[in-house]
Amino acid sequence: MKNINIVIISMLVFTSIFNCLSAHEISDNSASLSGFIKDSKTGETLIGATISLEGTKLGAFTNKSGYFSVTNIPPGEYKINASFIGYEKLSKKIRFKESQSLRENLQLKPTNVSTHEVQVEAEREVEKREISISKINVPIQQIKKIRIGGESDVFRSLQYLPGILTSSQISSGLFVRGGSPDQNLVLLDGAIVYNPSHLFGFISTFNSDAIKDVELIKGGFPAEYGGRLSAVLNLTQKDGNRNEIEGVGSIGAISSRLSVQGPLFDGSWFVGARRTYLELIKAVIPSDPTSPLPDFAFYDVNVKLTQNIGNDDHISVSGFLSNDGLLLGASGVSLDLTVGNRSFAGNWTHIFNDKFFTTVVLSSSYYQNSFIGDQAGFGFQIDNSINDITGKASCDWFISDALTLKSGLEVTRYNFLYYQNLTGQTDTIIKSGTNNPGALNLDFVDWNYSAYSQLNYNVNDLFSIQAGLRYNNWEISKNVLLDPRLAIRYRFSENLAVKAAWGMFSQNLRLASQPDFAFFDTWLPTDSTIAPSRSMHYILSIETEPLPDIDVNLDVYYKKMNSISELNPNAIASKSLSDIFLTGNTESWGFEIFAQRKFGNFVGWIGYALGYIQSVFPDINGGQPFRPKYDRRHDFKVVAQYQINEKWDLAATFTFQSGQSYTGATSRFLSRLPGQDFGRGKTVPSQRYGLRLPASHQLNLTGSYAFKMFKLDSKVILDIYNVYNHRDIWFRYYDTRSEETKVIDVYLLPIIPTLSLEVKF
Amino acid sequence: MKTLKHIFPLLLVILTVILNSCQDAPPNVYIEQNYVESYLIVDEPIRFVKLMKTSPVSDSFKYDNAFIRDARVLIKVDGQTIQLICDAAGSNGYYNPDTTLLVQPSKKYDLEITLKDGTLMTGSTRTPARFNWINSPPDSLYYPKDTLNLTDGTKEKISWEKNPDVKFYYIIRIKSLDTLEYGKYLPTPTEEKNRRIYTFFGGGKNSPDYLESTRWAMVPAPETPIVWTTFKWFGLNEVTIMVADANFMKWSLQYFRTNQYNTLLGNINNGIGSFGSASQISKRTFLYKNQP
Repeated sequence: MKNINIVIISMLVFTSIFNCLSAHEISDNSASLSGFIKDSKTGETLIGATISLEGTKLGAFTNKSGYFSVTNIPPGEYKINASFIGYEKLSKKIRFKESQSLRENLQLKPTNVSTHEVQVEAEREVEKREISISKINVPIQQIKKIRIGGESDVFRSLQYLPGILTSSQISSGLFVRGGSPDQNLVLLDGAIVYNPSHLFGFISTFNSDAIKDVELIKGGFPAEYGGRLSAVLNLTQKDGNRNEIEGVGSIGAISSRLSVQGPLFDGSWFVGARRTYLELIKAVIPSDPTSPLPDFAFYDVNVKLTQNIGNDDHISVSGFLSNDGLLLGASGVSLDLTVGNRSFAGNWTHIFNDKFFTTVVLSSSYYQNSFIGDQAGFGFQIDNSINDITGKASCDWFISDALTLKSGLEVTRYNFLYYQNLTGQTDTIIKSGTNNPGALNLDFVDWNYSAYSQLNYNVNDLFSIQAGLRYNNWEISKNVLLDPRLAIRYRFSENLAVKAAWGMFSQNLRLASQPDFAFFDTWLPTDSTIAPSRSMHYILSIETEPLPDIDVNLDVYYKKMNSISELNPNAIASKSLSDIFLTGNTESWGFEIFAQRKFGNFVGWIGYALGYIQSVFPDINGGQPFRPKYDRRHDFKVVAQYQINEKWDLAATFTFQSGQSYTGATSRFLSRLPGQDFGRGKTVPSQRYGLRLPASHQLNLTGSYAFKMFKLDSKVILDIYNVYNHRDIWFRYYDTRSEETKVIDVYLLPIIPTLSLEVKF
Repeated sequence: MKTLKHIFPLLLVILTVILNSCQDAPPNVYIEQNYVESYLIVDEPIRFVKLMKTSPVSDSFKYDNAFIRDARVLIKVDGQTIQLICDAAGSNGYYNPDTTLLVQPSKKYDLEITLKDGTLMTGSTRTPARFNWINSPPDSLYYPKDTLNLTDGTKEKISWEKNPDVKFYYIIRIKSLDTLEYGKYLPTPTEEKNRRIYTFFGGGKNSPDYLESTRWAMVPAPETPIVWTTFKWFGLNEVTIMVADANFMKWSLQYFRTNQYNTLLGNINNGIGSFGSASQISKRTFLYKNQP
């Protein structure tokens, strides 16, 4: 099987390369320009910065390494412009000789206010290289100003984009266009993060001080990404300051943070950490021994080292660690829960020449949860983990200004562990391979081999096309799947471009989890008893600029997902995946409109999404169609950030969504097991998730004031969560404990003001 | 910017109207359904076959009023058909008047109910095999002194024969008989000093779960240490180990997991509910209070 894989992968890669070469004649006397664009103050490479040659249609974006390449430059003198949000535009004259390959690293000066300048024009020209349909880059400066409950959080910020739904206001899970959070590929420096949440899902594990780039692709993602059905969230950690040591610390309501960064030889380092201090607060609160408060804490740490080796090699090593722990004990019962992620990514980029750029990533990601308990001497333990080791290599070939090829290989070894000891004696070690009632120790491995190739062809100034193919092979299920991807872009006028994308996507990993509770997530590979999950995306997108400085995107989408899974409540003894999961299909469709202003003192966006989601599972809801719990018909969001002056900043977020779906009741009965005196009331459900709670809406305000404290740049931040104190309903249930059936609404948080202090040193 | 100032308020008004119209009121439509709850216990007579109709959630629920007492209820086993009669006055449901006819192990039993309107409801169960104690509970037990830190309990175990019909869990049922009214359990004691069990997991001292005299637990192996917190009160208790068939086990999961009926955990055709069976062993033990 491995030989077949190698043959197919090789064929895929070489066929693409051959096709490129034969299809396009490469000019031999043109010049080229390549290099990195960096922050002049810190030396940090900038992702997504643009470079353009004035008076031509030549230009490029910097990639995830901050690298750009402009080819096919006719000899002559040009004025080059480099720009990026939050930086002053850089202009410079360069003379290119025949066949000259010029390497030029450009440094942009940060500025407090982003100006329109050439950014938009440059973006239009260089976007031909990659058709970024449904892709949103939210500047990290804006993400940091979106604060929920006194915390700035990457996931909570992304929830303010149209089409990104939540299961509730206290959940950081991202439900993208009808897909659930497990269908999103979350990458941190190329390593997968399996459970990116703290506080049972209230906030994500990503410390915004440690992140420099956030890229979200809501659908139709290119062939370089695979293994998930719905969306891609690609995060890049900060490299660190290459010029001087600096740091920032903050004290907030939920957690405190500290990050320090500095130069290291021809490179940099970064260390950032965050942790809660609830246990310190608990220590001063009187405790009732019969009803004690639990101990709860979380922390996360981000580390990154980068180094240049000569002009052509760049290496980075990054690590990420997160942990949540809950300890509870009283009246003979003790519970100890821990959840954690660990990831490591080693990244080597090599520039062979100005047209050929390679990246090799070796990464490992580990997610585990553990539940150890004791009830008056009866101990029990459940441990579960997934550990992947991935090697991937990719090459970017800038064949010409019109033609770019990206190809890559990926090999991943997954190790799944599930340890369950319900025998009452946790000091007894259960041997690997045991699969008895109450005593399980399952340790198994799956391999995934993937290869992809994607070609970007700029047919003419108006029309470009991006075609890709991804090959996937999984060992346990023996599934071999090909995922084709296609995107086109047609520019009707200076202010109007239409894009379309279609693609097939597959997912081998399945998540067994409880909705709204991200503590016991269990990842499992698809086996031969269940069909692989597949999805198909159709997207039509219109981008325009109807008003000066206002970019507007209108996306219409349809997504079909087959063989997706829900936990089977019927499962008592599970021998295969078909016992654990119920499978069915889901369709989602809708449109999103997104108006964004990126430049100036007043930035932000308005988004509206209309979405429909419909699932059909043969064993759920009597086989009749139903909408999932997170289906919300209307979704309206506003983010506004205003910089009054050098000292004062104001920000507001507002969301207004259709209510969450819930299941009603048509009648009730009473169940009594043998020997019982009272029994329990039960309701008979109506249409699954057929009803809606009242609309959900919330306004949050943030004001910050910058000042000097002990000669250090400091900032005090006031956050008001839920300004007008509208308490959303978290969930609704029927209380049947008495003869009267009561409809109980459990409400979410009221207005909460918090004060935070941030100090830079 | 001026254009935006006009657009924002207009958008907000339109969306507020649209979104407010999306909410649904809690439903009050009543759909009557027929409900069966029945468990055959090996070596016991056929009894407690409860047939009821569901009640509107908007009305006060009366258990006795929910019974359907005019149906034709048959149990079929080994080619034999037994017609059950109804406990017309009480709430014990349908039973076999021939109490000498006991439920047999490892047999398939079919339930057939015909309602007055001709509706036919069916279900079937295969009774589990018999089994016995290996190490039964002692005649008497002493509860530890410190009820907040119950680690000084006995390490004594109870065990029983492994039953091939168990797929995953054995059920342990502990019923407080309290014949001496030592703790005056039923109705529940409340604030007295010698209270036995109240954990923070409980639903309050007036909840049916707290008042219930029987406590259930599930264990995956045919042995378990004696766990103090499974006893609800001092005095005489009956410890029962049950081996349930799949229907009974699923219904037990349904009972403890959620207050919303899940059709996948029932097994009645043309109705809701469960027809299951169990084999069981019991032993009485006296739990003494051992604290000042």
